[in-house]
Amino acid sequence: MRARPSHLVPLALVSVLRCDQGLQPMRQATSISGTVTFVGAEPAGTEDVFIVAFRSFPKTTADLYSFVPFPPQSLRRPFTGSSSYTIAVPSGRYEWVVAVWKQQGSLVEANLREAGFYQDPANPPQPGVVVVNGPLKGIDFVIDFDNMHPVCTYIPPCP
Amino acid sequence: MKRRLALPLPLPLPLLAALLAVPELTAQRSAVVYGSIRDSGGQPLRATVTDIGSGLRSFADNQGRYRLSVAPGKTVVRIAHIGYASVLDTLTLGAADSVERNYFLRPTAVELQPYIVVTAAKRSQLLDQAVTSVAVLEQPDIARRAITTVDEAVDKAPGVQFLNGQVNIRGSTGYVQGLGSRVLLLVDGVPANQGDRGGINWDLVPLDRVERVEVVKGAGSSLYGSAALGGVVNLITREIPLGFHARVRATGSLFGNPPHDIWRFRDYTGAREGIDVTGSYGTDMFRGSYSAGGWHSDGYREQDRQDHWQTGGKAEWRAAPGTVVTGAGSWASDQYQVPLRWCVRGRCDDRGQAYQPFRIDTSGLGSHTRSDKGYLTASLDRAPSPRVALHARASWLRTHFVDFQPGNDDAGVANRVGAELRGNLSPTSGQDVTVGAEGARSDVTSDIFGNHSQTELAAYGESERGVGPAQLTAGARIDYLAVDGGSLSAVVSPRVGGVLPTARATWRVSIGRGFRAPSLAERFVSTTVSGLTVIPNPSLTPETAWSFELGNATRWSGALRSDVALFWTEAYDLIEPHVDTTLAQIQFRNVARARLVGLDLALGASPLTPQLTTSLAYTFLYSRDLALDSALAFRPTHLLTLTADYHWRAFGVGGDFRYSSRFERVELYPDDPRVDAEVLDLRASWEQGPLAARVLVTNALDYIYNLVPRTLAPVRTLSVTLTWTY
Repeated sequence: MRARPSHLVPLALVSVLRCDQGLQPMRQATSISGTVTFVGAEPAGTEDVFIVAFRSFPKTTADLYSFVPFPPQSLRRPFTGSSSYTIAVPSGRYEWVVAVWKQQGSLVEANLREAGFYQDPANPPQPGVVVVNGPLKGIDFVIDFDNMHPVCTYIPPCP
Repeated sequence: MKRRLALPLPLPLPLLAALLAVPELTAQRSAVVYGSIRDSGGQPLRATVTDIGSGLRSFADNQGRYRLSVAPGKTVVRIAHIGYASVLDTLTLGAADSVERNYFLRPTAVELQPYIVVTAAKRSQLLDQAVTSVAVLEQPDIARRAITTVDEAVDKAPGVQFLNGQVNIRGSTGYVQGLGSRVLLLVDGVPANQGDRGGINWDLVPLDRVERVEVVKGAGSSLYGSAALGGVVNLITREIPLGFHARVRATGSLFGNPPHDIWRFRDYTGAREGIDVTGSYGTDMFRGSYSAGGWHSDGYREQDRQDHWQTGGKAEWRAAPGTVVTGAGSWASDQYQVPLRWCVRGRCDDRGQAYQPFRIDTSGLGSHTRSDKGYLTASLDRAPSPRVALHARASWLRTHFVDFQPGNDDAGVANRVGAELRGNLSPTSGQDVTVGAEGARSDVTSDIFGNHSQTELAAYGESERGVGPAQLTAGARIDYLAVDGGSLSAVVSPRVGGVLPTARATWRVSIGRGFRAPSLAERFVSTTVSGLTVIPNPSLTPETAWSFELGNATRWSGALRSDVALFWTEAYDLIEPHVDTTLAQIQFRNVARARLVGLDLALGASPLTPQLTTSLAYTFLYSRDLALDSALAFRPTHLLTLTADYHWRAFGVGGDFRYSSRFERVELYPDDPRVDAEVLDLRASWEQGPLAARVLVTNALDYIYNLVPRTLAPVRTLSVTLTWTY
């Protein structure tokens, strides 16, 4: 017996309803987390402080914007005492986990300072390399508002 | 150097003179048709009675009684009700005649589409005479679904998809956070897109005031100008019936809790409750209606509370047969929390999860918005002869928003003032001509958009005439745009099309050009988003598109009809946000060159009994960003809607199923998990005399998904709506 075309509608409905279950709970993704400790007073004109990770140490100004996560996620205020943080990053090797202080204005080099970074425990103050395969905890370091460095410290020349 | 406006617009002065002519009140007196409308079992029907010539309508009350004023002479009226075969009746009436006509409608499945539309050609025409695809939602459809907002109604139309309030017709807009809609919203034909952002406030008009929604697909700029790049949505408000009428509608809803305990975010069940009250009174000469209402919602996720208040009214003065003066307005105020983005690992109490879709990123805690919007419009419609119909209108739309965000409040006030003169002429039998002129001025005062204005002036014309069995249409519109009083730029939008009826089918074909002028927000926005600086771009130019469509509507039998359309859109200079990672800047630029090609298929069937109606709407979309050689972001390849309804006496049950395939590309957080959308809505209703009760379960499968990055789509919600109509 030939099926009437109109009878195909409920069949299509049933077949589609057999699809997947939608979004499901997912255990934590690959991430870097730890505690940052603030030293010094928050400078006037502070707009933001965020933590980012670089797969390789930046060598050019273009490299400066190859960080993850993008866009960067701000640390929770107030910027005093100590604060836990977590940044979601793809799995892999990261050469520089750094806190960036930003003064009010555009996100351009002139408004940015390196405010602290994770150091190699065996060879401070060299940057510590981290390898992320899951949730990586304990990447603790200091954010020192009294000892921040402009971009040109790492990518000269300074004006 | 600024230029003064000196436009060679062919203002239709004869139209103006004709509109302003004093109606000859004593020379013509209207005739009246009255009576009752019932089904074959004698049950009263709230059917519509339409004067085909003038497009004027009347609605039967809950006892099936109606009354319609018509011009003397020969008149064709159509009596229609969804689920019943419509009746055409030809009457010849003298001045001041009062004739009783009682009608009985027979249940049938063939009347799945309404008969008359007004948006596709800026005049009343039969649906199958439109050269482009038109989807229509009638009031019974809207009431049956027990929905509460206009966007929910439009979202059910074939080929239409909403992305967090942003409407897409055949993938026209994508998602740009509410900026720059490529769909034009009309309220009774009056443009209502925001003056500053170009987006749409779907809560501008209370749903209870909406009688019908017409969705015209494809470029509509040849008649409507800017923003009609991907289509036009026209909200047609209710006619005001004779006598005193009132309606009270109360709605209560419960939001489903998260389906997994690890996602729970509160220890109570969220609810939504609202009430609308409408009253109207009409005589042969004066009619008025007023409505007010509001609702509160706890929301279905964290930081999602909303309060909404609205009021609106409409007044008509039928000064003479064929002459109607209408004033209408609406105002709505919303205060709502803003659940900006859901929480990912480390951004809230994540409980060890990669993401928490019901919770928000703590950086957005406290964000909320106050949004007020309203419009006023006045219009004059006059039909001095059976071959001439004239229309004049003026309108004012005002929007005001304040975004409260931690450390970064934004605010803006925008106005859009517009006016239009139009004539619909039938110079010879078989020919219809539409001509008109339109002007609008938008301005904004805002801390993030600055103080700016934009002026749009336009003239348009379109002619349709029969050539053998076919009807051919050709027309064009020219728009002049000026920003901040600067130099003018002109955009020409032509359209040609045709309709060819055959024994049981109608073929249609059209090609037209659409455009959208950059919104003031896109040109002048200056703010910061996620650490990125958004900089203005005053040199943006209009985006344009050519749309082609070939369609066929066929009635295969009394129980099956189909509508299929092939569409092809070539888009140029699309305005998209451009992210410069080197400078950490976002700027709106004319960057994209895009192609959208696809197929729209709609089937309507009554497979077993006239009481059972089913429909299928499917859209296949191939969309490419030709500049990037990738899929356009936020466009589904497959969009499917299945609907079934069964009516037995006073009871009805039904459901909708919507499937939207996973987006191939999104522009933000591309590594986040994303899935298809599979949403089932179920409903039941009971209607007896003045009372109606409806139960609706939306997203009955409690399917958890998102269409917009890190923005949870609505979860399972149970709603009960009670309506009393007098």
